Amino acid sequence: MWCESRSKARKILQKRVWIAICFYVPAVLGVALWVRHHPATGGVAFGLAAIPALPVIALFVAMGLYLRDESDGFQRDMMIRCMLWGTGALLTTMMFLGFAKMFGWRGDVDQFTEFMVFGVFAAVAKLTYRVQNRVGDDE
Amino acid sequence: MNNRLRVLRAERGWSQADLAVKLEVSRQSVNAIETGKYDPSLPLAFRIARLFGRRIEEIFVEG
Repeated sequence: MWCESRSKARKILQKRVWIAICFYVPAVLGVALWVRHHPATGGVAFGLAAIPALPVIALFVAMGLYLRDESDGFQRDMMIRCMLWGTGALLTTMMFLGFAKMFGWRGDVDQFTEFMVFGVFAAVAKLTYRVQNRVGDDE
Repeated sequence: MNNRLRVLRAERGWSQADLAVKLEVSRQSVNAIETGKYDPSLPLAFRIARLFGRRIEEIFVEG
């Protein structure tokens, strides 16, 4: 019931996502450690801050390439919906926090909350669509 | 959009998995089309019509 045959495009996407994650984790940890021991300012700080963002860009490029290459329209549709859920939740959260700060809220949220919001909502959407579109025993 | 995919498939004794392989899509896609949750793209509709030797409008009907 839960088994899905993966298309060639999906397999390539998963490979690319894993490669991006493999770069993302050392990039985040490496930059954090580097800045802790060698405090950076100005252009160097901006350059270091951009490094962990590169795998995230790669992640979205991989998703874009998947949407271009996926020949199964239904699977493409599901991917777009999940990304929309993630993006919608992310923008809503950012806007809410922005207005809350504008109206005097002094609190703060953890770093990388945006990434978590996008990931959690996209994952929940994926799970929901999988349940909605589950297939029974084949006839 | 309603369709006769399930009937045509059953007439040939194919499972959803068989049809998915022939159409080069996932079984989820076949199931979604059969249950009317998803309307296939025009290229896929043509592939389905060709596979069953029917015209598109003989398989998919407005409704």
